[in-house]
Amino acid sequence: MIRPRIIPTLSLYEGMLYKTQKFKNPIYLGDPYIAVRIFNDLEVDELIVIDFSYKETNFDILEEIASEAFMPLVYGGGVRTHDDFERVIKAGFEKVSLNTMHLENPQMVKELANKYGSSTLVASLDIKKSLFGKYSIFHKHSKSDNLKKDLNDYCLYLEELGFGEILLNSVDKESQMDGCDLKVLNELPRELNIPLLFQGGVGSIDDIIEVLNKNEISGVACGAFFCLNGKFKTPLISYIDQEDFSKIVSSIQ
Amino acid sequence: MVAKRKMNEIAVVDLGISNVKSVTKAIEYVGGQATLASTKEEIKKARKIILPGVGSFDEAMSRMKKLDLVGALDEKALLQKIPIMGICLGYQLMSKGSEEGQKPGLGWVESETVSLRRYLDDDAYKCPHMGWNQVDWIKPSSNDILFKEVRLPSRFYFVHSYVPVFEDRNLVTGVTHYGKELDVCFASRNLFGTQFHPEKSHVFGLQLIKNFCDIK
Repeated sequence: MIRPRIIPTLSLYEGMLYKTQKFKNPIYLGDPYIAVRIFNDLEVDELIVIDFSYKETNFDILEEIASEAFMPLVYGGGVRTHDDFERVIKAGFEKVSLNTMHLENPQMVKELANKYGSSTLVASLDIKKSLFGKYSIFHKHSKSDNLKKDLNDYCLYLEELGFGEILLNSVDKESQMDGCDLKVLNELPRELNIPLLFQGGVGSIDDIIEVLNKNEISGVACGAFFCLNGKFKTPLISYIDQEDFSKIVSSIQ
Repeated sequence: MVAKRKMNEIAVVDLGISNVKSVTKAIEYVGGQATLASTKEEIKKARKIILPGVGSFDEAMSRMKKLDLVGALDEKALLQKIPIMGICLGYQLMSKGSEEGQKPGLGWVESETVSLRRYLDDDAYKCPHMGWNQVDWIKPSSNDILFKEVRLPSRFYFVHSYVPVFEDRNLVTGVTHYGKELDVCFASRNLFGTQFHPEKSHVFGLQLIKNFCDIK
């Protein structure tokens, strides 16, 4: 049987690693290559790298990252064209995570899915909770009408566009490490056929178990939990050891 | 004067549709030498070949025809019998044909590539089969050269919607469990194939690639 997917996420800003908190207050983590090499040595099953500079993709960095890593890699950030997409794949990444594109240029998502296959496309979707407890799609820069869409409908729409999986980021929980807000799952479609990855709030092995025990969820992505240590949030790259991994495997149904 | 080709030099077939960089990078990491081969002349010079692959069966077969590689590859595989390893789609291309397409495969081995969804016939198992899965090596044989010193339990990264099925069970060297037992590794004299991606499977896959490089 397939292993549970527990995926570290690294976030890049202008070539260096930072970890934001609720999408603000970045903490400097250091050099991406060193972090990737450590994750490679720790034999992480997959790795997600997101550039949140909101600028053009820096392909040199991607090639260097891929040269350190012998596991499947996902990249997201600044991919706007067919050419960008192809260059990410050629740099040695298996999958490309798209956020702005599905909001603003869904036609291109369809074209990319036809050309490269659904398994190379990850839809990144940032979710924010309003004061009234309603969840909606969040994007710092976009004014697309899609942002107003119902979450349930929008997830089904992403599947229809040709995405192979959805990465749901809980913005309010980013780097909080105090547990996940899984109520949002109640607003997601039961009939979704593609894998759903969840990110935001993991601060313990028990949180990981809780997330993976949700039927709707195929995998959990963690940023702060594998990059920051303790209540002072000091940078430290780590991953789950064998003992914790066995605990997780035995605790999920 | 033709430079003498070393045994750890591996020609990686580049059809222009798949990411060959991960494969060449892995070969170099374990001390081998990787060269790209996209013409029949380059294939003819090869002492060892890896046939990687992402993409669709028919697309890959028609690219190989267009680049005029099939004859040269057949000669290497069946007459000269040099070591050739197929990865993912490359493994499927070695079979007689695939339910993914209409075109015949290279037909080097008696296997048929079937649709995973149809083969499993169970909605509980999503297709593609994507992620890390354990591979169990079947009985030691003279063909287990690829799995020498691969750490146990071995796990590998998979992403596929089709899988070859072998009639001759003696050719199957590794299986994985995903709803059913899947034939994910084979060896037949000089020919090898893996459904998973060794180049994306940490020390497990790198050891396997090293073993391929080390074949004398």
